[in-house]
Amino acid sequence: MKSLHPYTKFILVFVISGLSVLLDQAFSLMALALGSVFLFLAAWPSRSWLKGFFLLVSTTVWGIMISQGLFYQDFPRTIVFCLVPPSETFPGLCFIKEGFRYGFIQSLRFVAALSAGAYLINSTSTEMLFRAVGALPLPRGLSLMAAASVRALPRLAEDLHLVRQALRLRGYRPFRRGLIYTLRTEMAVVYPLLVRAIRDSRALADTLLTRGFDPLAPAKNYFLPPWPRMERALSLVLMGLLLAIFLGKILFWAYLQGVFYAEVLRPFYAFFRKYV
Amino acid sequence: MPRCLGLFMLFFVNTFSFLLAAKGALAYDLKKVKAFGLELLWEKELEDVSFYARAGHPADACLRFSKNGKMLALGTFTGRLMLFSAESGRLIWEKRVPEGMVKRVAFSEDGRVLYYGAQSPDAEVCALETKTGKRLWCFNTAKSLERGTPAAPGDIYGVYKLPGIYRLKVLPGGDLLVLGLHSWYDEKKSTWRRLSRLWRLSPAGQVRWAYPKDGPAPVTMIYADADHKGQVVATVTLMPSEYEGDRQKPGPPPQSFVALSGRSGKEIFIYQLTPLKPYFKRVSAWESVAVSPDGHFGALGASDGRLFIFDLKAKRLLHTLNLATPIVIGGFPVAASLSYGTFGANSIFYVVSGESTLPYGLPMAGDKPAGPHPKARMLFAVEPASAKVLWQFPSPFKLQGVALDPQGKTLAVAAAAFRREDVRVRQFGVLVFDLTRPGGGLTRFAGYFPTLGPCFFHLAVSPDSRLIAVVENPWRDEIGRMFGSYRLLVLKR
Repeated sequence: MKSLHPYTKFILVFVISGLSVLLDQAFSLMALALGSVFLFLAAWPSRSWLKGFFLLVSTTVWGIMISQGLFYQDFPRTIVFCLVPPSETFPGLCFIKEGFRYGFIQSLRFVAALSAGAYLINSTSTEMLFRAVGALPLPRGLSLMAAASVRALPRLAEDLHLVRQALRLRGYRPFRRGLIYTLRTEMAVVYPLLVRAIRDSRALADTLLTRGFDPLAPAKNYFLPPWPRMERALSLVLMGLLLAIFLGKILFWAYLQGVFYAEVLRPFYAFFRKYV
Repeated sequence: MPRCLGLFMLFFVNTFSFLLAAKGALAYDLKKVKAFGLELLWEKELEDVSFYARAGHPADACLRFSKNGKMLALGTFTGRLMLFSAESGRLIWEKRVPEGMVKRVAFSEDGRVLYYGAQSPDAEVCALETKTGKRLWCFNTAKSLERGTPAAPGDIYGVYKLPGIYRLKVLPGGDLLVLGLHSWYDEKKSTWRRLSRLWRLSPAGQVRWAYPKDGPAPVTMIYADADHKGQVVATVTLMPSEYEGDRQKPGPPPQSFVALSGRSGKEIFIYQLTPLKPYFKRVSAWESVAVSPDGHFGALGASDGRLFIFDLKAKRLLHTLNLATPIVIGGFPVAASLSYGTFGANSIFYVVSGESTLPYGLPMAGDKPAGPHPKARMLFAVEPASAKVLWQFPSPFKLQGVALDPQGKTLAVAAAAFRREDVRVRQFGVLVFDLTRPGGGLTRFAGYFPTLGPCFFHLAVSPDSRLIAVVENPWRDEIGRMFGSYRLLVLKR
């Protein structure tokens, strides 16, 4: 999976992101998320990557589950327990079992897209990524923005690591001086990172300006290895699948809205209702 | 790293335990149940419908035995149509009806054809070969009743907005009596619309007649029945369509008992029902319209507790029985509805009364009766000519649905849950009565099989009156625990 051509990787990520928006059913979203996580793991990420990834995934899943569990508005709803019981003037703040489930399903969208992005970043060198983006038939401004944002991520991680190291050397330990102090310190970590990011972006903008960069000019032809035929065919199939699901969703929407209905398409409508 | 993996494992275990808890039906081995007069022959787990049960909604099901008693057909809420060997429980074949529920099933006289009626965008009636499951023909009733709006994903009541087949009866000679109904809120016209129509179809699916002749009636016709020869058909009209454009359409008046000629579909008798004032503003009914096997009598049970008996030959109302009409308890009127009724082979009418309720829509602050109606939860056997109650059986829990074998030897009634949590009895199952025994209700009471969840009101008794088929629904108690499951139970007497 690591040795795939950058174009194939782009298409994989594009298809997974598209499907995570198009799909609505738990079964299909679960399959998509599992496939996406498998893709990431198959690229043999480093330990630090794995640690960060699982931390991000678990916080995302739990965060969405808890927020949906608290603020779920649909029916049926089963109250698990209440933080603030309902009263005559307040509807109550309770954890809803169906909300947890709904939150879990919704979080699968994020997990799928997150894993696909992590796979792309982790399996492709920034140089190759820049070349691939630069070789796309897009204006240079767009490809430069995409490459710059991808390159900024490892830099941001390094800066974060540096700030945390500095804090540690100055004797900071989480929760040692109470929850409020810890929260304040953790929030304060954002400031140096933000300052650094703004300074870097300004420096980049100045550099581009002095070099006469034209964002609307066509992309340069960078060297890229040839795109294997098998991978081309696979990419074509994946894009076809995405397009088919997109068109199917439009057809299903037309059926729900009473715009278009065909009796012969009933098995198709049922399939889309249940699985897509 | 190991700590991270440990956390991840913990997360997954927690997540899946949540999912399992949500599924949460408790295990219950029915084969170990020591039931009075009945034993479990076989059972078949159907789909997970706990989502609907949590919303307090039972999942529909329809069951029918073939004439020779060898096959059992089941149509489900989720659109499955299954054909079983009645004795062994072997699944002969299964079909899926997409985007709809299988609302009614019926066998042809010779058992070679299985008919089903769906509640779906096309509200189709189809004929299938029982041997192979091959589709022979389909009749689309939505062309007449309008297609309506499909249910949005996750809308648990959405399927009921679609047109559906509310009655499917095979008549002698293989003809079919089909009642189609479409009752829905038309968002484009911002009003409730109600369209119904009756058809008599030939065995090949050709229309012999339709009532009304030129198009659907702008009124709810909820149920219909015919005599054994198919010479008289009876139905009841309830609420009219609220859309002005529908009201121009010809059709029977609302709030009427209508008798039709089974041969031509022409009206032979219409009786205008009057509401039981001051407690009721209108007459409501459910599956309680019936025609006696000889076509002499018609019966209609109303939700206000009245039972109307008609002489269809003399074309007049013969009797009105106040079986469960309101009585004043603690200053409030309390009634019980007569929602399910059928005639036996000996022309005796069997009808069940529901729970004690305050009349719906009365301007009262409370909705809990001060006490039970003495005739609530009762099974009545009524002799139509004299309007005499021959016997009755008081049940300790809510009754719904009546099924009889063609010889009229065995009667089965399902026990279900009442919607009110504070007064309902948590006991479900099937009650069986031996109609050949002499005496009152208690001496005829021949068996009771308890189930964890309520039983749906479309149950069936085999022609030899030996087997009783019923579908159990999952049930959620007051604190959210799920009991029972959506399963088919075949019981042996």
